[in-house]
Amino acid sequence: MLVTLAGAFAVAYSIRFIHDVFFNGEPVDLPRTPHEPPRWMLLPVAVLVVLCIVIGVLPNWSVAPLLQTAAGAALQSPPPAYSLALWHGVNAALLMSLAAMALGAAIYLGRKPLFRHVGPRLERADAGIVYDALIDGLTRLAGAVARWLDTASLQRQLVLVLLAAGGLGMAPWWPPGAGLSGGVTGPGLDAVSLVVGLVLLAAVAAVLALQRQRYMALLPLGVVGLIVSLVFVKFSAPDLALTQLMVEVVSILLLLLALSFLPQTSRAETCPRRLGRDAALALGCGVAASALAWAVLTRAPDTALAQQMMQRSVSEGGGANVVNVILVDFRGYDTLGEITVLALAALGVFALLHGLRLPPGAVPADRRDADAHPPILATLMRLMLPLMLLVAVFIFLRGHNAPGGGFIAGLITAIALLGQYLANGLRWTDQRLRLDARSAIAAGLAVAGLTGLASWIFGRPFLTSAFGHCSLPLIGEVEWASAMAFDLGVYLVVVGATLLMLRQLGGLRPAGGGTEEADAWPR
Amino acid sequence: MAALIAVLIGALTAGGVWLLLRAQTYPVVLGLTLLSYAVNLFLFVMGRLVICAPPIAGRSGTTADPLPQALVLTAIVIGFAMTAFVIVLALRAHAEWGSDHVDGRGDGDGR
Repeated sequence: MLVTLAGAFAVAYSIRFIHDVFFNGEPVDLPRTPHEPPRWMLLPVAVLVVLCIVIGVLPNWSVAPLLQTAAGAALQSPPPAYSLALWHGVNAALLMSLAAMALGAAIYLGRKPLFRHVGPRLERADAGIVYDALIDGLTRLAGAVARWLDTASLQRQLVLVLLAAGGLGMAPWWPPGAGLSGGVTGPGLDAVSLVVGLVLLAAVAAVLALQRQRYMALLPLGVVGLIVSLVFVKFSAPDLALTQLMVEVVSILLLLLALSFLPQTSRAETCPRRLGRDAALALGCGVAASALAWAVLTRAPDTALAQQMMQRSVSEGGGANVVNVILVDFRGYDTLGEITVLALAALGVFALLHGLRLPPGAVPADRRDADAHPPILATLMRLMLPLMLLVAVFIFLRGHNAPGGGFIAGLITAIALLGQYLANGLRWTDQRLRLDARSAIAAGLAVAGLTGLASWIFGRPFLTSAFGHCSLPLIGEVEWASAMAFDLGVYLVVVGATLLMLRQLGGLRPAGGGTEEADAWPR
Repeated sequence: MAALIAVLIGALTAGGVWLLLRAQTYPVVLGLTLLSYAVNLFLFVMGRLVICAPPIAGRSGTTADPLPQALVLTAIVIGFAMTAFVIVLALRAHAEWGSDHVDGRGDGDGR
């Protein structure tokens, strides 16, 4: 129906076109009298006319192959069956064409009354007006959405992000039916785990309750971190537990340092509507995370990948500690990216702290202890240094076959060195520690990257690892692996980045006050 | 045990989100720390709860899934680096604006 109507209008304007140009007497109201075009201008028209006639009369012979290819390309699949012919007999399409022609002719014949009655109204229906209104509306809508979303308040935007994440995360459960619980039961609950879990809950509550007394809030935060590391121990992840333990020490040190320069207390918030909204959102996120974790934990895992990695770890990676082999070998590219992020974060911290002018009096006087470096602590830390470095070397060397590795050894080394700063002061330690943290980061990235490139010499892809055995005098059979060099790069970056961040933060002092010895290290 | 772990992850998430929504920078850093514990634990237990079977090749029987452990190990270290970066950013904002509100307004004389 619509096609016939459109065809009718096409017929009407075509008839008007042809009739007015060729058969309606001399042209009127023209600025210049038209004349016959020169012969060469007729040539393009002639080409079109010839094509029209050829395709119309002999479709199978002229256009069929082209049509087949083009239709196939547009549909991305073989086109449906069809036949090209000039005469298909009397069918619906022919009748529609005839109807369109008749209707078009009728419209043309009746054009004068049509123009008189409908014409003035059509002139007002300008597509430009519709278009402008549409664009204006869209612009206003975009402005409203932008004003609603972008209120220059990070909290409001965070709320929106959380709502969106929560909504999308919960979406697969709609419509209900998949069920929350999968029915697989894991290991049973024992009393110790329950108590430890309750302690963690209490510690989280304490962090929330104490967040306005800032130093106090750090204590329960440390408890949370230690319990998380106990969870890693319980569920067979010694590497993670070690890493978490070390990071916990460095994190608390970092927060203590930074807190010296931030306001010590916060004002209480009083807007109940805000607090209510935040509480609802926090509870919603918590329940959603719990539900998600429960849903996964009560379903059987797909162990194919884990088994692959367990089997190929020794034969292809040359190490029995699969976690370490994954880090330095199977997913070495990932680790290279991650130590790069670590290096960038450390350099970012360095850049942000460079030339930072703290407001005078940012560090309250009572935070400065008269007994700057207690002798017992100072002596003990000096004695501990070689032992801690020995532990780091031990952890580093065993990392390929037993829990340990570059990340953990790097953190242990960093803590050993930070302990010297803590116990003996910046100047004493800086004089003795001939290690430039930025050089260590650069060297680490270079070692890791070059280890990866070395495999190109042997015609292997980037970061392919090799390993073998050799015998050393006195020590005996020793296993070596190129992944070890990569792990050394990781180690150097971790040591350098951690040292750089904490040393720079510890070296900060308010403008106009304090000497190098009266440094801001917390005690 | 699964229920306990799920509850712990939920509590850490809820606490982290609540602190993230506070206006001052220091609670935001605390919140990020809690939230990263939650995320690390969540990713870690994707390998399911396996007791006394660390993923060391050559051990008999089933062992824990090594892949989530490897992913979480780097996540812990990077989480620390990000915490350091954020807190130094907070310091810098505090030094330049005289305020520790996340939007740089509030009780300070800066703006």
